[in-house]
Amino acid sequence: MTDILATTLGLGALYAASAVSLALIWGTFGMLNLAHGAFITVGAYASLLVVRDLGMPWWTGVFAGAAGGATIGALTHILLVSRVFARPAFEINIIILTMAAATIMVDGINNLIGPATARQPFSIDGRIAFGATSIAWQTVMMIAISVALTAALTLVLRHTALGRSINAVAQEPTAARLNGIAVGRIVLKVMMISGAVAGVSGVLITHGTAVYPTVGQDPLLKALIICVIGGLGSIPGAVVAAFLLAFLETLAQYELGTKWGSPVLLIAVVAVLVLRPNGLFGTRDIARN
Amino acid sequence: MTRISAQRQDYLLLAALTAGLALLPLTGQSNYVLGQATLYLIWAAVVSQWNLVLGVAGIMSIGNLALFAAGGYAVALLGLYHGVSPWASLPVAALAGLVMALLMGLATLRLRGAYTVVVTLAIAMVMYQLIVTDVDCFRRTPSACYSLTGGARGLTRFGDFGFNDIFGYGAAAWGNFLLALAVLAACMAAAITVVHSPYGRAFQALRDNEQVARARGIRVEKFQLIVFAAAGLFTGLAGAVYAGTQRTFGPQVLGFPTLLFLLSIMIVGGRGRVWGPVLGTLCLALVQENLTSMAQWQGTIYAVLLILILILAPEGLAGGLSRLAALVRARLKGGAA
Amino acid sequence: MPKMKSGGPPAPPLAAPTLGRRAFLSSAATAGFGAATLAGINAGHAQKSGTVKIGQMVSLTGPLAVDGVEHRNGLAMAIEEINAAGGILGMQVESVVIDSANQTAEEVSSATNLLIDREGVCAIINGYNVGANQAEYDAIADASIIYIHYNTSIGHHEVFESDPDRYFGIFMADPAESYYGVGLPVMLDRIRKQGIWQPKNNKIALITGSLPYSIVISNAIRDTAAQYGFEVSFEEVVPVPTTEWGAVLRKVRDDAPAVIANTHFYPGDLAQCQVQFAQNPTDSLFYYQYGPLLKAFSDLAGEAARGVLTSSVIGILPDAMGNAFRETYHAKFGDAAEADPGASTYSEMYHYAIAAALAGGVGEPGNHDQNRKIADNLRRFVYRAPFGTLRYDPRFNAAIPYPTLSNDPSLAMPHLLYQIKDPGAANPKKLIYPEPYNEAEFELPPWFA
Repeated sequence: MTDILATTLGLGALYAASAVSLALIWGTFGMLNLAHGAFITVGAYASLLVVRDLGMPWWTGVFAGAAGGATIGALTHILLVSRVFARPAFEINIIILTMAAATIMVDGINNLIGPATARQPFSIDGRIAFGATSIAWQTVMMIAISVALTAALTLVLRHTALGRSINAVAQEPTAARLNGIAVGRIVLKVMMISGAVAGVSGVLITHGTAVYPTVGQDPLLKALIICVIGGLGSIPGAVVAAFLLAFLETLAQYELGTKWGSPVLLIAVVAVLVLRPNGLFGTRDIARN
Repeated sequence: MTRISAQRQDYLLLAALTAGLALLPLTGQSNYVLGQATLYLIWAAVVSQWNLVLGVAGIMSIGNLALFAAGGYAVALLGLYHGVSPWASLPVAALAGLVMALLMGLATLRLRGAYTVVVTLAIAMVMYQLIVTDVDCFRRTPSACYSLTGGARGLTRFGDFGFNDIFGYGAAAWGNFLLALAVLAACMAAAITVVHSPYGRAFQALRDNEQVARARGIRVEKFQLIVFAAAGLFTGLAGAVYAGTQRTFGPQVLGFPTLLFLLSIMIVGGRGRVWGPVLGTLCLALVQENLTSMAQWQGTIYAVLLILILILAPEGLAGGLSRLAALVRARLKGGAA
Repeated sequence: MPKMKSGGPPAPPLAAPTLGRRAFLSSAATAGFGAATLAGINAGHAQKSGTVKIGQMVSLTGPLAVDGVEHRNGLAMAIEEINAAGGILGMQVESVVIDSANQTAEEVSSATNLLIDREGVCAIINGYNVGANQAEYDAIADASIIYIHYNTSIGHHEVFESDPDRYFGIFMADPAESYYGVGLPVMLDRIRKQGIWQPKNNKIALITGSLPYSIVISNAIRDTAAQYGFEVSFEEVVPVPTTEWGAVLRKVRDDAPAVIANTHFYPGDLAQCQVQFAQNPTDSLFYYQYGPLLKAFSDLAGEAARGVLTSSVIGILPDAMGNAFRETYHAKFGDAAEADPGASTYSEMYHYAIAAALAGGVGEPGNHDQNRKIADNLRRFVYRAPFGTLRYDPRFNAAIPYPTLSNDPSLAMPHLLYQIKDPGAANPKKLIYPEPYNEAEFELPPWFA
């Protein structure tokens, strides 16, 4: 049981970091970003290039991941989101566009950097003892960074001017524009924040998986599931759902067998949506009126 | 002079197009050309149904390849374990697609846009993962052991449509081509019927302005389910023809590259347009066959094409063509006056 | 075990057709891959003119392209040498290479049709396509041309045996993947008999990847274990990819088996498995399928990789012939090139060229009788390649493995067992089995108590 809990803790922290990034833009603008997995990959590669190829110290990797993610978020906004935002059929158009964008990013990495698997340089060795059991410094660091990211994001949304503008745009883009809010710039900022968080989570995730071009595909599915179960756009909901699903996945792997981890999660999300279309903790209406 | 209705026009165009394409094997094309054309016809058929669901009925399903897989696996499993010929299992495949579509339709009936995307994607992914992790020994041959679904390897040697046996050596290529053409024609006829039906107009109203449509009492959920089910039937049929002509079927049809390719066909051709899937397939086929030297950028090329069309010309090739036709007609009328 | 050096300087590039016959013979004799034989046959026959087209369909793009490029290089190198030796009875050889990208059945079938219908190739000399599922076999059988590949798949045996007359021209130039599984208990038994490793029990724990390749191997291990005094005490199937090995490793530890065999084969995933195992190891030998053959495994797993076992049913031997090939190959394609995949298509091409020359010429699509003669020659004529003896078993048109199917290494291709000796070295692995090819001895892994 301690094994299951330890795995859950580490996995949950990873899932939370990745899912809050998706929840942020889904919750605020109703934009489902299917390039989220590619953002994660770009963050992981940014760390790899800066540390391995430019010879910077290992801890700069996480900042490189954030910068890489923010850059790709900004590009996605300028080239795609701004073209269709607040226009008819935005919801489906942006899903299709980000799916195409993900293909371009993964293809680009595959062809320009190469398909080979590499080690994520952002990592520390060693373990700290906890009575009878011990926990890796890497896990401690992962949990710390995830908690810090989530807390910072919540604070920004609740207690800053930027947060208030984001909420205004989220509720009614047209009214926000009339009130003198530069909607385009707010969306750009949110895309950059979301990209940075996804980039950092990419650096953390690839410590356990190694870095390769399609490494973001699995985390994308997990983040989708977490966001749906956590309820639309609810960041605390996403965090709770992340740990809950990490527990469910680990339990399935230990008790049913490793191969059941993913299918159990996917079946769970379909079941939740069919039975409780507002998500487990959802407040807002996601069903048709 | 009697005016021909738009629906009649579409049917006539379809008949002419089918008859024209049916002559292609007579022009002495190589097996390679016919083989590629067969594949494109099947993909056009799949997109014609997906377009009905996503473009016309407004159900944001991106899991339509699960319907295709249901049909393909029906043929492969029946052929392999019960020796049923693909001809005989065609109706079963259509039924499998229909049942799958009903399940998906019921699961997403109460959901809004992005959530429909997640559920349909999740269903397709569950199917994919259950197949690729299926390794339990089901069928033992002298040298190895195979699972029920064939796992990631897929299934093979379950039979084909037997054109070689019926018409002699070399007939398989044109036989397969004509069969795929027949399926596409059936799919297109169904699409034309739906688009010009009262349901089609109701969907149109709903897409144009959801609030107004609802205020006028238009309830489309039932029609959406019917369209989804019909699309499942035809997509399952296309999956069966794919399995029988390619003589192999595996889970890779549920992967992202296939999804993106078909999505590009739909968007480039014109989402929600009857002739979009055919035009889109033609366009992407030309791109694919002419850019073989840049194969590693193939996905990127499709994606860029998709993005450009969606942003700059959201009505796609079909929209552009019909606008061009209207312009020409207006000119002609102006000249006659 | 001393490392054998090649008997002379590496063969110079043989591009120039003006190369004197004497110089040519002496250089070819260094390696002895068959150019001299071919030149001899060519000299004794009426010369034809024209060109012969040879097809190939390998991944040149996408994630599987790493080996595909070497497959193309190996073919190009053989063709260059063959043309310098006078081609096939005077006909110059020319290659047509098609990209099979992700190696799906659809892509491979379409490439086959293109090569046959549009290019009219007389033979397809291939590397491997993992997802094709023998979908290309029928198009090739219809055209009755020669097709040599090394797909390492038991599926080849099944299709061939279903109708040997129809598939007469399709050859698999390496043993099927199931021989990995058949061979492992044999090799473990040998190690046990040496006495350095004294296991507490006879249990093998299987971790099975969910791709067919892994499953076939695991099944074969289970079927063969008992004959060599082992039992499979535990099996768990893992999805592809798998990076979180905690659950499965915990169960394995409870079992404390003598051997853990992981047949999932992605180097990155396996490196994670080894790192997580090394944090809390048991006294078990750890065998991994395929991944540790690549240097990436040792790079990713670091020091934890030391002592790991892995094997290959086809690999360049560290002997005079193998070293000579390696040197020539690297001189031609650079130090970063991987010689092993190149050696396969290189050897397949030579074997085909000699068989065709002996049969009096090549056979174009539809020339059933001529291609049958060539296929008979391929079965009759044993070819010594850089990876050992290539001899086709007439029962299934595939290479015969040593020691699992034949215990005579002069008549079969050796199944090679490696151990990671130094994860930081340029070549971390050393061949420890079978004799007489091994270059090092088995050592107990450092994680043993």
